[in-house]
Amino acid sequence: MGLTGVVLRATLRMRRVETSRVVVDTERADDLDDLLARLVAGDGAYPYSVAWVDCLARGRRLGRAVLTSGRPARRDELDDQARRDPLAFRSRPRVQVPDVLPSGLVNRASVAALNEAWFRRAPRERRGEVQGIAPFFHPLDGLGQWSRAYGRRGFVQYQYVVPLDADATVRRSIEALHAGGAVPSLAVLKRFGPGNPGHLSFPAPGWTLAVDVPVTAGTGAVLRRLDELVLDAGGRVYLAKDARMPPAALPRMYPRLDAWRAVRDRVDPDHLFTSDLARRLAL
Amino acid sequence: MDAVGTPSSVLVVGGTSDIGLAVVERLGTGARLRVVLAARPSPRRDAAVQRLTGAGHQATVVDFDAEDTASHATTVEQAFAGGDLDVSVVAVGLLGDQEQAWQDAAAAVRLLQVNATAAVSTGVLVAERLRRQGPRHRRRPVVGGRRARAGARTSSTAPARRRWTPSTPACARRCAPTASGSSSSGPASCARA
Repeated sequence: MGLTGVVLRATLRMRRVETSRVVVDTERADDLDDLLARLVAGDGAYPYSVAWVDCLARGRRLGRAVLTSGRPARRDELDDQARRDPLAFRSRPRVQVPDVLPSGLVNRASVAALNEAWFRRAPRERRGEVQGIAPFFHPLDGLGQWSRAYGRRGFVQYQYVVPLDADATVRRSIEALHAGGAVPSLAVLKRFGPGNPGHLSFPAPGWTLAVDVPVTAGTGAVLRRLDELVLDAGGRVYLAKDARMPPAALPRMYPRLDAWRAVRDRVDPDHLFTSDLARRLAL
Repeated sequence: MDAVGTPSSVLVVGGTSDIGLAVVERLGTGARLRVVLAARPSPRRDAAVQRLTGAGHQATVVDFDAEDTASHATTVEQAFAGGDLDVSVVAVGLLGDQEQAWQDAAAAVRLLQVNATAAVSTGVLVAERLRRQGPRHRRRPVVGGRRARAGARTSSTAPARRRWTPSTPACARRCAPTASGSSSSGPASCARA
């Protein structure tokens, strides 16, 4: 969290790839149960998988999604042209969002229309498509300054992880977003594997849902309700993306908080390193 | 102040003011606030503490005498001793007696001391304190950022919201900067911590 000093040396473990492309399988899930089953079935088959979830869909379509899974492409899987420069990488945005857009562009009608288009545009099932790593890993970055579409009030991204047996929490949280009048503009569901030894490490085996929610008058109340659901399920909110969680929830979500505090008190006894997050959560 | 505009701590200068307490209650809807009430020791101050704690907030007090401007700096320092404050409401004021005020010079001066001088004195001191907490946390204070309604004798000082510019992502004050937002498909087994 940047509160225990300055990183002077880091060692990265990297994955060797032959190309800058990914072989992608795409499939549509008709509802949340279908999606969860597909994610479970594909667990272990791909190093990367992510589901875009239509959080505005209700009733029997609640949780409908587009699931994309991929693995690094081998050189012999590229076409002749791509094989000439297999590591070519281009990440520049194709289109820039202008800064003259009016507020309120991200609303229920526009999000519902985009969700419908995104869902229908996706093939029901497609195997073995070769994509660049930029559109696969960061599809939104093809749209430069995309956050401008949210206007001056901006948005919050809320991401949590709950244990694998708490999949009902995913459904309840989507229903809570509906009940609170929130309009999640983007929602992503993944399955996590084991976490790492960091005291405040976020990942844990379970379901992780990330939702982008435009800030409105009711956003705070909706997200507090999500906090309750996550706590009830024994989950946690991702601190790296948090900008509003109340401090009381923190020790329950991160049971190793005191151990981390002991380290921080030893290396920075005067708490010279601080941040807005640290102040708000009384880290 | 969090990303959806909810403060976690509030200072009320003139801590028995009904307007000040109403502002706190509005700010604290659905949240648990740490509230510092700066006011003279009195049963009304005790009642204000009860009112806030009864609503689930944490309330502490510091002694404050509006007419004693020399003591204001100490009062403000004491108010911030428990930690940084997100919002400060300067709600100090006397209603006074209009008939007396235009005929009794001492009464008129007292009204101005409390309603004008004390508000300016504490407002400047609070702004200075917010400025000190600001650079450390990249916040800037605004004094009297919102115009008080006529007769309300209430002004507020709060950290300014960062201005959006074309070079600043709109989400800069809303979320931790993530290059790809939630659209990233990170490794299922080793997501960022």
